[in-house]
Amino acid sequence: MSISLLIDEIASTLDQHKNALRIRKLLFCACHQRWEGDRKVLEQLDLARLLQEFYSNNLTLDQCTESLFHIVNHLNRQGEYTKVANFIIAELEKLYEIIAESTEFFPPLEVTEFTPINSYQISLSKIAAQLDQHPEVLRLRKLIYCACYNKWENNPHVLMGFNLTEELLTLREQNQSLDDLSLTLQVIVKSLNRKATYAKISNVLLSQMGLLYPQSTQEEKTVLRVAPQSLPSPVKPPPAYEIEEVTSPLNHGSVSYDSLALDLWAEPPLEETGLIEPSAIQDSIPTPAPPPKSATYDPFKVRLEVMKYANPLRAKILVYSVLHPTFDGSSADWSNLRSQTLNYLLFELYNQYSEYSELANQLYTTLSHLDYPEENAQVAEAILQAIKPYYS
Amino acid sequence: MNAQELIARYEAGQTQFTGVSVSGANLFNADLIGIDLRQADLHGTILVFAYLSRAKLNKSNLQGAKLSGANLNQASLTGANLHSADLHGATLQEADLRSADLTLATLLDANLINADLRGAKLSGANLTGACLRGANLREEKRIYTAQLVGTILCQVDLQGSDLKGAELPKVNLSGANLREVNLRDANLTGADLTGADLTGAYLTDANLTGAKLAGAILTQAKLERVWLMDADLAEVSLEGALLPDARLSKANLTRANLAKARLNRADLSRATLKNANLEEASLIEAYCARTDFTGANFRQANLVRAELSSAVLTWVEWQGATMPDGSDYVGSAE
Repeated sequence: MSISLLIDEIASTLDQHKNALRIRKLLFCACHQRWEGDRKVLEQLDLARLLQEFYSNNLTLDQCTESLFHIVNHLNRQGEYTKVANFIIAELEKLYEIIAESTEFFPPLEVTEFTPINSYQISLSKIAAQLDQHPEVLRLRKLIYCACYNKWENNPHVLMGFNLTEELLTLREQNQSLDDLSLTLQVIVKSLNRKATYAKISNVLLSQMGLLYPQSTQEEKTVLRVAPQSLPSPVKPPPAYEIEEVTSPLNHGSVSYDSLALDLWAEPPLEETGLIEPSAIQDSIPTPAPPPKSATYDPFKVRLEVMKYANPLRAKILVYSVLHPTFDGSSADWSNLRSQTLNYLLFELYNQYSEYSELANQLYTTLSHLDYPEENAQVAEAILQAIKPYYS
Repeated sequence: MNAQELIARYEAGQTQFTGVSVSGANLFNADLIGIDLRQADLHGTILVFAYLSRAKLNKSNLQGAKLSGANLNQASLTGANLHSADLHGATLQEADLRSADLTLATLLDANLINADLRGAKLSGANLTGACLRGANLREEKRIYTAQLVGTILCQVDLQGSDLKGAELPKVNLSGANLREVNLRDANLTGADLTGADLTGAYLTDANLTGAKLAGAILTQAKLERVWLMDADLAEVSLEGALLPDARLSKANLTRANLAKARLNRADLSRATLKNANLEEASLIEAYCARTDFTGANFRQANLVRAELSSAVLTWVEWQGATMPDGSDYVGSAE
């Protein structure tokens, strides 16, 4: 059975479920990173297309589970939505079983056809075409972009707009050996919050790029898991994703603020530590080189980073609400808000939470009780990104 | 015009509202991006959390307007009347506030990054916690002199800004971030700079007479010919600071860290330097009439031709110091 037929079938099964609307809500949120409560909008959605989108965003059933439960954990009706999520996952299992047989996008045999080649041009375009067909093409392009320019890009227009063949050539020229490339990618992956996801993406890229390096005939050597033994001088690590998001110039130029905020929201660092594959990441870095972290808390830097990306008053309200859960917007609360500076509130927040994940959880829990959840989610992200460098 | 009518017309595509009167209206959280409200009467209007980015508000009357949490990024507010306006937690990044009247306005925790404040009237305004990175407050041909008399600037972030020649007498800049700020020739007489971070700041020829600087960080700051008479500099960090020809008479430098500082020809007469650290400091030709150096550390310091005859030098550490007559210190038998 073809994938699209199977998706249609799953869609109709899901639509017959008594919680069909909640299924749509959950899938919509997973695909669009926002909660839609309007019944009309939800009913007008093409469920099969939504499923297709959800499927292409999630490479494995594990990722599906992770995406759905990441949302469920932030909802107030967790019990109800857990059942809904489990039902969706049970249905999608069929899809991934079928796919399992056809996931070999890059069979090793095919690999040998391209190696070794001195003139990269032909193989480069073939690799580029292969990579462009990958379901995770956007993330692949993000990783490639970062490896080439040492800068994280979230704007899909920029990402899909560049010539992949040229970028791959740049990448090949910047990295003299496959080990160099592996290290470059490792450093980037390690600085991201979705490490596990990007480790897989990185492996896909390495297995393809391996064809451009004469000595790498077995793609096992190219995967991230292999620790490069004798490394040349360490590659200058690109700024960590979190750092990059907040220290980029004030004028974003073509980068739309909305897309930036959306992606920040789309990839929150919440509880992501549990997702890291230790064998894939940690073993591969010969020296534990953490992303640049300031040892001492710099109140001005933190406030600056928060202010660049969030409304200062909303930031104050959110932080104040975390520190004073009884905040109800009474005149006494407002007067307290005026007597405590953002600097002070941020530092109190930092002092109160010894664990970063605990802080993130508390921010998200608090914002779910406030008005304007979208604006406040952006504020929470800005605070987390600004404060993260001071957590070890 | 009332609020509903304004919003309805704006939503229908109208952006020109020059000279209208919407005073006292409630425009809470209204989306009015790019609206043209030049010379409009908006006094006392509620614009809390309103979206006014790129709005044209030149010469508008916003006296007493409630603008807390409002987004005014890149808005044009030249000559606007914002007297007593409430801009608590507002965002004014890259806003043009030239010659705006912000007298007695509340700008608590406001974002003023890259804002143009040349010629703005900020007397009595409260800028506590405001971020002014890259903001322009420069004195320019007298016309554009920002007025900051009595402005509250606690914990403001002015890192790297140009405040050359600024008139800041009695200003409260306690706990402010003034790293690498240019305050050459600035008037900071009686200013409160307690605990401020002035690392690498330029204070050449600045007047800080009677200023409060206790606990301030002035590491590597440039203070040539600075006026610091009667200033409170207790426990300041002046490590590696440049203070040649500085006027420090009657200043309180108790427990100050002046290691590696350059104090050549400085006037330290009647100043208190009890327990100060002057290790490796250079005090060539420094004038120390009746200066109290009790318990000070002069290890490896250079005191060539310094006037120390009437200074209090009890419990002083001299190891490795070069004495006023050019000789190396010879300690008593240990």
